[in-house]
Amino acid sequence: MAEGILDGTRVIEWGQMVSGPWAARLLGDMGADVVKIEPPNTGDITRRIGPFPQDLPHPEKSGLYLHLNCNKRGVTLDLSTSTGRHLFRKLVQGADVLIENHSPLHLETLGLTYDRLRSLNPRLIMVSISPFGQTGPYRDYVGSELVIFQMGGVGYETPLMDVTDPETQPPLKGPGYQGYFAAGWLAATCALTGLFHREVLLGEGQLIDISEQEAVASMLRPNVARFSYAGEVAPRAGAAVGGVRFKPCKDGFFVGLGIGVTDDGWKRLRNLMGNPEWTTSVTFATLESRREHAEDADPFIIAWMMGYTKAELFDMVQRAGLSAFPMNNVADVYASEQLAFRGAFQEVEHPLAGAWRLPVPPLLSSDEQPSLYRRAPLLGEHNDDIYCQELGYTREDLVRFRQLGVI
Amino acid sequence: MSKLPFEGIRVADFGWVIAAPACTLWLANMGAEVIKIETKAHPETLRTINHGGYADGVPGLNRAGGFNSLNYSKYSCSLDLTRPRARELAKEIIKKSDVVVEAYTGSVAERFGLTYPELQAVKPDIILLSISSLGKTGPLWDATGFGPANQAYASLPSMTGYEGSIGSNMGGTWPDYLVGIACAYLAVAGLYYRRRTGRGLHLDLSMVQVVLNMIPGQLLDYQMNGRIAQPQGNRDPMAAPHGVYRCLGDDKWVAIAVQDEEQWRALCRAAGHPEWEADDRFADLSSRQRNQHELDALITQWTLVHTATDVMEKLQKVGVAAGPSQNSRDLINDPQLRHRNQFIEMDHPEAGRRLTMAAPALFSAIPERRYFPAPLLDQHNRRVFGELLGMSQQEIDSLTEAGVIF
Repeated sequence: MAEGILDGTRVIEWGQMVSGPWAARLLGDMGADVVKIEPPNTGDITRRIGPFPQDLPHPEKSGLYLHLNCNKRGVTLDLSTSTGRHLFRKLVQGADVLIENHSPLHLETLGLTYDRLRSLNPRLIMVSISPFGQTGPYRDYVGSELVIFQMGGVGYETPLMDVTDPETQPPLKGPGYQGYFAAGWLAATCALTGLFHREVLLGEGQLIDISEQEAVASMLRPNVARFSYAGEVAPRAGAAVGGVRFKPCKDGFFVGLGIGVTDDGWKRLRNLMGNPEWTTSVTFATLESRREHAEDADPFIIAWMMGYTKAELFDMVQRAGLSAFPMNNVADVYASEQLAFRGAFQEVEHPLAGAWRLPVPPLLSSDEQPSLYRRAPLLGEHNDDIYCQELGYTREDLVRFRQLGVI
Repeated sequence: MSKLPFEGIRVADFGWVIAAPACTLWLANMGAEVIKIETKAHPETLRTINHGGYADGVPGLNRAGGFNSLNYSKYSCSLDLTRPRARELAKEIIKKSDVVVEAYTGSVAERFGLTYPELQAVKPDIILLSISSLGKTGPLWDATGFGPANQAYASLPSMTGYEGSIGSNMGGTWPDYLVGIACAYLAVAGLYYRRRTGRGLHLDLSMVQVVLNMIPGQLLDYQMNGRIAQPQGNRDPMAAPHGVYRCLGDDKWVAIAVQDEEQWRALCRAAGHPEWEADDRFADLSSRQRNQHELDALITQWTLVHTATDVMEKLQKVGVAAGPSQNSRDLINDPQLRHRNQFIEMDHPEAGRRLTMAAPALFSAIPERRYFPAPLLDQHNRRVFGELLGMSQQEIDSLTEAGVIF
């Protein structure tokens, strides 16, 4: 089902790190023919990041790389050489979508701006991802996951819990590359929107300019609204109220059990706990008042929760129609029966890295074909396929390109 | 004005809270006619909670900032889907729609008739996007969960927070809004698929599975090395210094990420401390990581007497990634986001003139997207039941009186 959506669509990924490669992978997941361009010798920087089996770094064994680059073919190309740029232009000529996440200045220096590429291929949809965007006062600023996440505002209120002394406790990043992934999802959505636009209305492509900072900031709608509607700046300390706090149970932690819920939710929770005396207090009668006094109720709720394990509680609350979940760690995730039933992980065999269970694209596929239908490429694995069989160069040309360090 | 990509596409939106509305917002801004099917019997959660403030602090179904900033450019009609006649009318709307989005738990979706076989019977090429915590199949097909719960199940909080803490959620009800973008990716893919094949599609999205795709390093580290990811503060295996440092001003902070040796030397000089360069404790990445606490303390001494903007400018000038940790006021005043027209003002009939986050990303062939203020609850009943379904005013009135259109 999902795999066929972009059959016959050619995507060139000139990406690095996470946002560009993730956007291209999302298109590959839908069946697009994605060709990833990496610099010769070193490859994508994620090849050096890991994790690696037995903690032994190896450019073909990085877990991050293996995940980000499934469902693609890979070639090497040095765009700092004129032959490299010539080959790049040839690739772009035959492409529907180009995804890149290099700095705007770098593109200009290489002469690979949208205006130039459009003249080669007016149907090209070029998705450019950069830390801050293709124009504007911060255009040439250097980004990083931490920096775009903080400048995008989500970092300011991370962690949501635990900030008791804002003077000494700094804002944090999320785990791994949350901001970059956000930009990647957005970029894939934009690429598909551009393809649809081309198909039904325009007949030609366009440039889509994605800022990683903005991708993060666009998640903060309520905070912007709060400032405009109520004149309030969302605070860092005490931002997590009521049910959003993690509370201990017999064998771990649980989220979602608290009194700061709707009247309906409060009724369900009271019933589940057996309507103990404390719940009848007038302090807890209205939603506003429950929110205000959420912490007063926590000791009572925790005392009740401590009688049950995560699994027991999960079963009870879901039966009661309450929205509350256990706090899992990575081991719990792999042990989840639900996720196993959904086929949330697929074992992907790699000739050098071994076989690992990777998360599949987040939708249920009714198709027989596995959703991760192609493992991540070895560095330059498809040079022959692409340069000889598709672009028509000879084996001798390829040898020459190698000698010149172009591929 | 040039035509928008989804002009002529109609979306029947049964979604609520964050992920589904964030998805249909993308479609609406790009030209789709999005009809929210709501009910007064159980108003959409974001209309009733303080998620984004109320206009001038006064609560009201049409005054919630959280709702209005996520549901602009859409229409609203009301149907109490617990009533059989209302479910029939919903089917009539679906018959005239291209995409259906729903975010109910499995059993509620069944009760309301929002399953793929039922919808296909009404409209064979319909695209149904079902959004739920854990998907609409499997032992937990009927689980009810909101953002923080989805995060927790996917193990995201177990690896977020200060070192040594039990873990924490991230800000901005992460990843709910992002899941909305992931849903939009699926909805647009569905439209593209239908355009090319003439066939409909059921897309069954699990929010937990979206999150799993964003923590590959941690998942694989567990498989490869048996390591269970823990909260790591701002640490990064490839960069040091790497942190958020206290600055001059009230709760002001700056993020700094030094990603190679050249940047480290540039930072030392920009901070006016060339002697750090020669310090053995900071000689290379692994030394700096070993001595991060001392390094952080030194950097804080420098940042503490400068504004965050000042530090950003000094470091960016020499090619080091740095920028302020921005609260909502900072965000609204951010010169780069303003340059990209990321904030728009709209006149809402009840909430008044308010600032709202616009749609992200700039498209060269789409100079302007579709913006109009969020609907009042049931504001477009006449448009939907009268103009779209062709019902008479009398019919609408009697169904309203009967509590079907409610």
